[in-house]
Amino acid sequence: MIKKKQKDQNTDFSTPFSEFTRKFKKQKTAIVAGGFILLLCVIAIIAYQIVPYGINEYDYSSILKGPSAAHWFGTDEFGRDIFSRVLCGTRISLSVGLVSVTTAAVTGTLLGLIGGYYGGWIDSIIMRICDTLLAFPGLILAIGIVAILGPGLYNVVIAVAIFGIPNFARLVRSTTLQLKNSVYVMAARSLGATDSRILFRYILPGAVPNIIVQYTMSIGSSILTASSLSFLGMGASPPTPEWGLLLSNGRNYMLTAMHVTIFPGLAIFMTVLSFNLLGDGLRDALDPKLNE
Amino acid sequence: MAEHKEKNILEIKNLCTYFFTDSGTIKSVDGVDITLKEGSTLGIVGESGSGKSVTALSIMGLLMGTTGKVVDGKIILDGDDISHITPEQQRKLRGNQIAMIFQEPMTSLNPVMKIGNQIMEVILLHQKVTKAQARQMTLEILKKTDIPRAERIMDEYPFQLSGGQRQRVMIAMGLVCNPKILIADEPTTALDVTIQAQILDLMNHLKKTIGTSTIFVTHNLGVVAEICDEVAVMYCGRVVEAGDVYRIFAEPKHPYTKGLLASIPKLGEHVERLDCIPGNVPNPKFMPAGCKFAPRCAEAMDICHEKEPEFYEFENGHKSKCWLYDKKEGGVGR
Amino acid sequence: MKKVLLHMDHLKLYYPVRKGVFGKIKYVKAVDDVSLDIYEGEVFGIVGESGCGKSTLGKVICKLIPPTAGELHYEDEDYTGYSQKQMIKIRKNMQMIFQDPYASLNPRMSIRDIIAEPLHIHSLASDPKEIDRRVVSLLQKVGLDTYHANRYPHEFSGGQRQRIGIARALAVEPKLIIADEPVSALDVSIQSQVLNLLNDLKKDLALTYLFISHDLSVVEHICDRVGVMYLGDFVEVGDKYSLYSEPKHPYTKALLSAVPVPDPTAKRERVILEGSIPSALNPPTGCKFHTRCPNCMERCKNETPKRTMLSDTHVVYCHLYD
Repeated sequence: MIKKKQKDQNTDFSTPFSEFTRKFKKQKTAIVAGGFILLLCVIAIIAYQIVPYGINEYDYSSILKGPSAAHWFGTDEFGRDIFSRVLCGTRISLSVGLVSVTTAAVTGTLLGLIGGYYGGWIDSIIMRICDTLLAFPGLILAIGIVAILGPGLYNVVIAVAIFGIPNFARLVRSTTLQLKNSVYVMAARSLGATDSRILFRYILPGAVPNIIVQYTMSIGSSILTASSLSFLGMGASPPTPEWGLLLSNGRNYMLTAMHVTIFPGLAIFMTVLSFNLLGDGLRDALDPKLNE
Repeated sequence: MAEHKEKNILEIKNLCTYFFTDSGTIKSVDGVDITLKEGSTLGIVGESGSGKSVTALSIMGLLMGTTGKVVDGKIILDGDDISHITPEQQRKLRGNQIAMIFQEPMTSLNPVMKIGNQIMEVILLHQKVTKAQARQMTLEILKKTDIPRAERIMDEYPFQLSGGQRQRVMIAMGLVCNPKILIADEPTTALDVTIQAQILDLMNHLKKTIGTSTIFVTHNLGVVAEICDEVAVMYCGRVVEAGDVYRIFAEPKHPYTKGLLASIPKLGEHVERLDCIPGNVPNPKFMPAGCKFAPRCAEAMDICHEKEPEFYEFENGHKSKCWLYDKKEGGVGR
Repeated sequence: MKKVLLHMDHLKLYYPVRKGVFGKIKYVKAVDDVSLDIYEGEVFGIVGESGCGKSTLGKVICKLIPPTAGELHYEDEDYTGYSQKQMIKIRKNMQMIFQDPYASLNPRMSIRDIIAEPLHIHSLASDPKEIDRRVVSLLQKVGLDTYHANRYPHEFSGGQRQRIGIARALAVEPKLIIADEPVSALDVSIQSQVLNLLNDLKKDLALTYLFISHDLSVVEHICDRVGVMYLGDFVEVGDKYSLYSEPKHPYTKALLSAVPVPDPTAKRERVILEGSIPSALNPPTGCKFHTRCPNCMERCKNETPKRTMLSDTHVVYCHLYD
């Protein structure tokens, strides 16, 4: 039987995954960013349980009060605790980000694999569609889609997903083009592997590092887009504590009660930044040179 | 040419080049001694991991930009110690006194420059001549390398030339400033066998006419026998045997050299099984103690696994690093 | 009469190439009318320089590239027009070993998975214990240790990776192995190890090899019959002894004389060929070798030489002999 890992003193045993962990440990910024994101995830799950105030708890006695011991982030124009609202908004932003990017990733990956592997007219059609989508500035495209579909968070998710598909499709297509002619894929074909086996067992794993990096970076921009859409009144509707909406609420009070906009704005900024830093760190650690 | 054979144009003593990577230090070249006599061709033979290419790059000072550094040793070119010169001085030497030819002529020639201009650039960098004179010198050296229609080639780009022609251009570029030594790093490995024969023929011819002292790095023992006067065999960053080519082939002393010679299939020889050297080249991060070849050596003794041997000298400068020749340690002696 | 395992009939592979946006389509004749029989149990070597089409021929035989024209038969079965599904049956009998040991193994799969892959594809074993058992036995056959199965390709040397590639090819118990330059990328001292292994495997498992290489000494050592290719065609095919000791075609003679001999005292009678290998896009007319041939006659420039049988086992395609 195959013996378990044997510490052979003449070689250093490593799997591609352990190589990745070794390199990733060196990316200090990314680790901090990753930690923050983990914190956000925890908050997203338990927010409603731990917040000191309800998100719709009006308190007309303390309207637009600045940060204090009772209200860490202050209160808005209805006396609602901003801290609680921001915390609860985490769940919305993260889920919008995750769902839309995951949809874009899955769809884009499939399109990229098929277009890249088979080429010909399928590839042309897919690429033309992607080129068209990419020709629009992201936010305008998202606005356009929501205008067609109507306002609301679900449609925001769809819009952001659509606008994310071309990036994944292009990325995966380029890896597919590169790998489909590699010797080990040729070896697999000579063994008799079917096209779908080659796509999912040989080519897709090769594209996964790039997909992961693109995924992480995209979450940041999709959260930003979703917030922007809500800010413009096209996404979540009040009283949802979505961050973009919180920002929008505070627009009128920017000069008198800055705290209403600062804290949601900070939340968006920190979240997007963390995802971008994590993505950078992942990209460095997943460098294609997996071997010396 | 024969009168100069006794002068050493290049002497390398105890060269150590290490690569400092984030997963450890790799001692690519660890204590290499090489002498090149004026006018002769020295072959450095070795397989992957032997350090032969790194030795060549160390002499040229081409390790900048990599994680490699020459940490110890002396390099003496025609009496001058060039081990610790500044990068600017090194640059002045390159192309002018030491020239190098590489394995892949396509990637070592600038693809967007005409051939003529590339060679002229080398001349103008090192010699005070006019452009017209440089052009004339270029034409002459191209003709010397037997390139047909040298005039036309001057105005062509590398992609328009065949592999053999590009290699001739590389040789021309190397020789144009009449360097003291030419280092050829596997110049024929990427060429077809019939083209390789043409290039080796050319290099033999140039040996007789121009007589540049040459270091020829290769893993192909057939090529060594064709073109080299002296040979140094490298294994794991060290020279394990050195001497003149006839002696090394007729009476190899080191078990590695013997193993190499026995394991190559030779035309006209019909054997059932090839003698082979068992095992693999050790991982540079886990080098064995003692003689680096001991784990694979059929004649290894106890001392071989403990201490690295010194050079033992035979006749005519033939020497080998092997405990087998040390009577004190139980070897057979000379 | 020995049994014919592989039969190639007027096999052609032409790549269309368009010169310029509106230019005519020209063809690169990578394999140009090759007819050959491979007999069971033999080692047939194909030698040639770059551009001769030997690697392409190997891929066409495996139908990794579909031929432009001609027929391919395995035993008596014509598989030229087979679909991917139909080819699975043929692929069980015919496996390939590749030149580059660093590129031929999927870097993300463990050795166990790489060797077990053909077992999965051909549904030869489904029980994990059975798969393990087979993988272990294959690893031992190629001289590797059982614990290597859990490791990944990047931890192995070139020679070891090539052994893994061989183990993978043997998993389906094929009869024919097409080895495309299997030792060219290996160090000299490792080459002999792998060549000895291939020899041993041939005897133990009754294999037939199609051995493609540019190294004439290696081919002479391991092969029984040899074919010399130039620009898509065979120029001479014969048993090793006659071909190497009495080569007939001028190209074969030049090729043999060009091989550097590891003996400084050996006398060298070199036939140095002029010029370089012509482009396959614009091959010379008549005999393709005529532009470099020291014995070129008028006839050679216009007429393609026909096959001349010098003996039962030696044929040559040259006007000097017909």
